[in-house]
Amino acid sequence: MFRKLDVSELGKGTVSITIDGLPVAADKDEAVAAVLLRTPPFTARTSPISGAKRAPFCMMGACFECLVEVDGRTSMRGCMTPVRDGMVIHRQAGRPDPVGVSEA
Amino acid sequence: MSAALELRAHGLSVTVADDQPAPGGRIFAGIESRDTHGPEDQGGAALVTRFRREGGEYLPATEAWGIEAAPRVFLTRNGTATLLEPRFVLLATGAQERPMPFPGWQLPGVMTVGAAQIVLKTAKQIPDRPVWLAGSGPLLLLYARQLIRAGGTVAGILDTTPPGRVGAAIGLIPGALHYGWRDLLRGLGWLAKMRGIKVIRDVRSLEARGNGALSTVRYATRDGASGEIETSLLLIHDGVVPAVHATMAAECRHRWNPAQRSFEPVLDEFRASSNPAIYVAGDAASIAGARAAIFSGRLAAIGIARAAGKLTTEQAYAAARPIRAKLASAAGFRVLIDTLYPPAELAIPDTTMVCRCEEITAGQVRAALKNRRQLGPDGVKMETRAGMGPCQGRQCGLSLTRLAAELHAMDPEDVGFLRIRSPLKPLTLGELASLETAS
Repeated sequence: MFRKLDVSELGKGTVSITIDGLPVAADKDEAVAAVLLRTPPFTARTSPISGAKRAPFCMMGACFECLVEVDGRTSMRGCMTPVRDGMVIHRQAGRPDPVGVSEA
Repeated sequence: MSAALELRAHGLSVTVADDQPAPGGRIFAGIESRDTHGPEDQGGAALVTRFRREGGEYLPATEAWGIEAAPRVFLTRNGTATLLEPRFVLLATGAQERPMPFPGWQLPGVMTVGAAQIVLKTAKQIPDRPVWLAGSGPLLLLYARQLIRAGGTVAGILDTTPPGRVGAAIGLIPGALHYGWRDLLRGLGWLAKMRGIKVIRDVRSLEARGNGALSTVRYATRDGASGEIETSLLLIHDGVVPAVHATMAAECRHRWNPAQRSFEPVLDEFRASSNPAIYVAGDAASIAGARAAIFSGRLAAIGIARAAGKLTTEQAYAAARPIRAKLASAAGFRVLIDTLYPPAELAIPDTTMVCRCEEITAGQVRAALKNRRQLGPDGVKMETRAGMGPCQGRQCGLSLTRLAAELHAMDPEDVGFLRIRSPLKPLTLGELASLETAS
């Protein structure tokens, strides 16, 4: 859905994170939600009400659509979370427990 | 930033809590790690540099989740909560996109133009295929230009601007010209560059369709035409409104702005709210744009300096005079923009999911409101759960006010907004338990 302007030189330094177990290269300090927007299927979670897929919408912390599990903590806003090397991200389903699938 | 610098210049100690990782707000987001384009960006970069050097104590990646009248400010940073009890609080919480609900807007593939702009500025990313924009307003045109300059493609624009605006605006141009002639010329330049883009005008309704993600957009125009567009990404925008959750949680008085169709805190001539210890600057006070925000911050700082006894009333008025002149210019330009681009107020069919978090439709809200004139947004919230989700009414609040006003034939000023309470941001019990008091 989105792509980097310059793939050959990713900003200040390339970091490696995993999304649902898959390694993904990311730009130091970019938001997790921005990485989700270029990683298929470009979604963040499923709604606790209907199970419908949701994706980042506002990118400024005001809509709470981009909720993902970050290093074991669930329902973190991906747009307000800068990536760090080794970060473990899981897309979340419905309304998860506070401690997520990867115990951090 | 400008308020912090002004306050420091008057000898006051300042702490700035910023929910972003680096200074710059929205307009200059990520400016320390990207190229600057043009004089405004360069001015922003210079302001950030000065702020880093002389702007007081800076707390990045810090969320303010509670503001109480005393004033007391509750912050969370790195999983630890802190309570500050300053003499004065200045809220520069900025604006948010005006919610623009229509059937299917909750599908993956529908995002705001503001979101795409943040992604461009901070993650240096653009849509990987031609994109459709829908809505109205200068930000939409600005992003289209930025996207094209970055090598992206705009397939088309569904323009929801009501007809007849240019005629209404012509009379305002002389007053606005002095402040905004560069912007007007820039705008005309953009329009010339955008000749290859399909523009569908007078759109009055939208519908996003797809199976789990956006695949088509249906539209209808005011003169009865309709059509369907294939796209997997739709960027929407219908202006911006003040982000009022902090001022509302702090129990400041608000009023309805009928021209901008949003709530704003009631402020005095130095930007003090109905709570004399809480000041508001920038778009959080009233939408006036980035340049005005810099002056507005300085004005609020002068007001605080006067209230703190660092300036006499005479000195404060004298210092404020040139700033007020600039703000008056900005206000004139703002009236022109508001006349050219009033809020679109698309039709909200019953199937529209006005509350995205709890998945409540306009039909459910209307059913709750019907024949119950005493029911307002809070009553609707109790009945339907609209407004109870994690966004705390940021995406649905104005829609609830609008639906209640329409159904009850009441003024939005009388309908009011959802009652907003702390915590304003997610907070774990662990963070709350870690609360320390800073003196």
